[in-house]
Amino acid sequence: MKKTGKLIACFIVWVFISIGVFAKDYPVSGFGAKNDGRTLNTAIVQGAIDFITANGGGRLVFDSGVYIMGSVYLKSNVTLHLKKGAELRSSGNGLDFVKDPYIGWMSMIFALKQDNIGITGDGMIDGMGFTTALCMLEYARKGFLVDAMSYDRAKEDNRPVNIYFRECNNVTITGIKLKDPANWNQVYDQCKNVYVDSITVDCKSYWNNDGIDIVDCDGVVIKNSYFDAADDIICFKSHDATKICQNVVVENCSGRSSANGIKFGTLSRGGFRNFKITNVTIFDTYRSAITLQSVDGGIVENILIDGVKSYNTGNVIFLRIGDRYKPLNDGKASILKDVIIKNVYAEVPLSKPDSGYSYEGPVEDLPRNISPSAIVGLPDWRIENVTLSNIEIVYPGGGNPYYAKRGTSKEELESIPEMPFAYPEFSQFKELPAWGFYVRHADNITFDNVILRAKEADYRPAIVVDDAKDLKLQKMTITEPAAKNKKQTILNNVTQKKK
Amino acid sequence: MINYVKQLQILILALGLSIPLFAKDYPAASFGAKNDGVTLNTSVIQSAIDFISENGGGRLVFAPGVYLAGSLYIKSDVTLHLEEGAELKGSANPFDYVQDKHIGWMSFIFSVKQKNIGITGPGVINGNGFTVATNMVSYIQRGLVTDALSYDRPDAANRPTNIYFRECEKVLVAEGTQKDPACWNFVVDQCTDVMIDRIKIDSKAYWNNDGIDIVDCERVVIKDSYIDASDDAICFKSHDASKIGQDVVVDNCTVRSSASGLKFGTVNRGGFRNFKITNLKVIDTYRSAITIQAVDGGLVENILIDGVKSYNTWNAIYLRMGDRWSGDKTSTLNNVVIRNVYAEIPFDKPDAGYRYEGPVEDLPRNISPSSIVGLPDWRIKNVVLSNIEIVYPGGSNPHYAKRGTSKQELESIPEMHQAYPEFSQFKELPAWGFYVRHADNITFDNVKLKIKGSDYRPAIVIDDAKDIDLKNVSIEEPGNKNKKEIIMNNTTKKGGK
Amino acid sequence: MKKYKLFVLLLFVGLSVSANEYNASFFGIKSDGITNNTGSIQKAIDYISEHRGGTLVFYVGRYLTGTIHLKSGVKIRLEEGAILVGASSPYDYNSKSATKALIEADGQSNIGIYGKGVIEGSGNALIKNTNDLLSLGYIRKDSEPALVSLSNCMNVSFTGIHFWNGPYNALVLNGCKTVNLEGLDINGKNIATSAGIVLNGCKWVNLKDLFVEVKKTPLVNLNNQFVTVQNSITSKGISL
Repeated sequence: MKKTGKLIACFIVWVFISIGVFAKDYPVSGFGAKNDGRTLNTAIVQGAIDFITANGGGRLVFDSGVYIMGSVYLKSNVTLHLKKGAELRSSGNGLDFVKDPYIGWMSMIFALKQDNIGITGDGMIDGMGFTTALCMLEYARKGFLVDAMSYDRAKEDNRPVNIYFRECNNVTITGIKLKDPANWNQVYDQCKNVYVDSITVDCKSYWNNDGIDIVDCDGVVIKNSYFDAADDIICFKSHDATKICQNVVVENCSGRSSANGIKFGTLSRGGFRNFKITNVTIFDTYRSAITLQSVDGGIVENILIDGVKSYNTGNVIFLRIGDRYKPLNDGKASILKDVIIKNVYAEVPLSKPDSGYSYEGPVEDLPRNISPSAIVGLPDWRIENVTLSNIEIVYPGGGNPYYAKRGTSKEELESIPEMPFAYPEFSQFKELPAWGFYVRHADNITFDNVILRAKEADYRPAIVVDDAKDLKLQKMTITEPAAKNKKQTILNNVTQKKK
Repeated sequence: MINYVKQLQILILALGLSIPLFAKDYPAASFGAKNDGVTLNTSVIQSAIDFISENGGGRLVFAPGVYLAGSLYIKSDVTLHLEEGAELKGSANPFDYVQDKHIGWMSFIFSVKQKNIGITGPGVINGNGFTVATNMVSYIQRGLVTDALSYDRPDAANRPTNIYFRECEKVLVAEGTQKDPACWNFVVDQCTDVMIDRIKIDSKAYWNNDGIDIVDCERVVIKDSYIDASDDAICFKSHDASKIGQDVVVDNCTVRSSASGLKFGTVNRGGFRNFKITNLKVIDTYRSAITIQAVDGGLVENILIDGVKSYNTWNAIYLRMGDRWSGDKTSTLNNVVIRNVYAEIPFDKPDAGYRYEGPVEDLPRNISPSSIVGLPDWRIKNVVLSNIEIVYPGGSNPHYAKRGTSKQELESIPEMHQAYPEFSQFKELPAWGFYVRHADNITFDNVKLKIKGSDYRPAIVIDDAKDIDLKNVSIEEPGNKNKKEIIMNNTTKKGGK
Repeated sequence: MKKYKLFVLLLFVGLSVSANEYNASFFGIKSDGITNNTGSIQKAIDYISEHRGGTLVFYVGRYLTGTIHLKSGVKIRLEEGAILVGASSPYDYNSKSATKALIEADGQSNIGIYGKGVIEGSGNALIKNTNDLLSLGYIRKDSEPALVSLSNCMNVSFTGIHFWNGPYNALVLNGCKTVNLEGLDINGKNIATSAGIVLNGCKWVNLKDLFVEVKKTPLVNLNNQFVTVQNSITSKGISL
């Protein structure tokens, strides 16, 4: 594990060095682009990119003003540089956007198999997602766009993202603000050496507004950035069972979400390896601050999460193994192991943490009282080697058994459904039998200096562990009002590690 | 003539004095109105209006910010006051608007049968019309609203105007900006004692975006205002054959239009009487600077237009009698004085580049002249044109379009008595400066017609007219010294001169 | 007992009539939680009622609205994650009826709301705004808006829905016949004036699997005939 940390540190330095210094600046107005907020500049900007890439590369510079855009493709050795006050704004008309046949999705800015590309500056990219998404729904309804309109919306591949880079090397995204896509916001898919620094994300305009999606990439730095997203904010995915997402550093980032803060998954076919996440602050977040999900036959290993502050967030930690796409996985086992989570302080509220934000997270899996943090594997596919150290979580307590109840008898514990095929979410099991931490089908789990506080009495114990080998609980602190003699730790079918 | 002009001068003064001083100001925010541009304030603002109306009247004051709302009804003794930076913005959703049962149209702001109402202050009324109209198209296409969608747009009755006042007394609209309705902008219909003062209109969001429509009103003043509209800028209409629009003053206004600048008509069932238009400036206007139309059996009389500057406008003056929807009534157009006019006609389309440009039509034709065109039996009478200067661009080409001046050619010009009246309706006309037909007692006094390049047509053609008086008519056309610039057919001069 | 069997049969018939489903967005209803959808939702209900009835379906999202009026033959289905959010100004509850509500109906039949979704009353904000306007003298003390108020309706069914943060009563039913309230979760624990269900002058009412957590009376049962209550409790576990 130590080795991983060192390797990653070297890699950051290397990424820095590899950022190219470009030869030349080209003002986009020189190509005839108009910043009037009306003229559709797609063809002009594409012409400019093609010219620059064919002539030794350089920066295409946007002065302040609003540039209306459809889809463009960024090419090798070209950086889009958005000066302060410059805005690339979607036309809002879905027909101005391309669905890339190779990727299968729509985007405002694509790059496909290009090297040394970037988007920099203090300007903004605004996907006008709400308008565009409703426009596509309207086209679907009129029948000239084929879409099942399930959930009363156009599906993802008919809604453009802001940025989709696929199979690119040396990608630099710095300084810019990314706003309101119709779908995910920015996707880096099978890219090598991606450097994201000091960006601001404000994407709450429509469903699936993730902040940033890193898919099967090798060598990624995300730092000093701020995210406010309706869906997951920093999300690692693995779409391809033959790939793996690896060597990733996240540091000094903060944000909020109406889904999860830092998420590994949901799609996790190949897997995730060698991640170091330090110094993140998550607030006003509907689901989990941190969630690691291995539900599609992938491998998740060597994950270090060090330094998390989580305020007003519905759930703190949720680790899950599942078996979602059994037929597609050829029986490949999902693996989740070697995880360290340390130095975490978290406060869980009683009321909905993302209340009042646009596109609030959906109320679901009712009835249940406030859910605990959880580590839940499957009977045969077990979560292994997880260390939780220096953790403090403050819960509201107040679980009411008349509203929802799950007891701690052997029968009751073992009646909790396994749900191997279900979409993984901290709330999926509805009522869980603990208010603080719930562990099941997990081996070699260490709790070291973990403090769990309930502000009000709860009918449940603080910790329930069911079916675990080599569990280690050391320096545990549990506080709950008026619960002096209450048994706060319930173990069922558990073996403890020798101290 | 002089009599009514004097009366109108008194009217301005009287209306100025009749504006009441309201007892009390109520901040809209105190009723819970939100200026965030997303909260729909319809119920809040309507409740506030009702409350103020029932409690002695006053002003509902909007502090800076954007107030989203659907249809509102102003009630007696209430003025909406929009402070600088305040915007009353129309909801994008057509279902947030009412189609008033009495009026039959939709509007953002209504007032029906109320007294002593107003909209004041420098803020903005924004109808959000393009969005509302296009959303309405979607609803129609889904079958939620019944509409034939002719011309691929909703019927005017399915598109909200910004303001529709009907049968109100004592109306004051002063200072603010009105912009982007989905239909006409500001309609004042069968109202009395109306003062419109220092307003700015920017109405180019969709088709039929008139600026101001004054319909069958009595005692109206429009002054010191600026109007930029994709349809007619200032438009007088008469919808009701039993009514008449009368005692109207327009002073010191500037207009721009992709239709006509100042228009009497098209709908003219009852008529227009006693109008005084002074100090009008018309710019970048696609059709006529001034057009007076009596085509639906109404009466038009005692019209004084004094002081017009018209730049980059495709037609200066167009007077027309027609027989469109007259039934058994006879249209009349009588006693018109137009004086002190300076107009420049461009060669190229004058409204090019504006949103919702006027439609290119009635081709082929060369640049059209000003015209006074009655019908053989319904004749335009008693028109005085004095101190007029019109500068034309020249450049006509008889190979492109030609109308000669022989008796047969002149008399073959179609009468088109049922057609929609427009300066271009006859396509090519046989004069470059002025064309008069079926009109009696027409006086040209100190009229100067200039053309920048030579034209194959004469300057003036008069056909079938009695008592024509041409005094001090000067014509300047380069390189055509011996050309006969005035052609008359079947015409008698005044006093047998 | 025979009567009840008949009543269950009636309910079944009432529910199975409407086959047509309409998605909310078809009527321009927006899921963003900030667009006030009153005009579009009312148009949707009117339209469906005039077109042989059917179901208006809301998928996941927050749908802001003021008072809407249910019409005969129209059901609303709130899918899991869908929230009908009440506007927070009392002026948005502007019906002329004696018992105001976010959702009203008078003299309608075959109506109901079902699904796993939420009706959110925005109670605290609404109460605060009401008090502000009262103190300014802009409004008079008026009837307190319920979440749902039905008068003289027949074949009414509410199932599965969560009623949250209603400022006052959650459901008020006056003079209704053949009513099924089942699997409802009424939660007003954060609202000092929250109350539950009021039944007045109703006939054939079935209350089943209800959970009511409110600060005032959970159930008012006046002048009714044939009311059954099964497995329905307050937050303290007491039967209704």
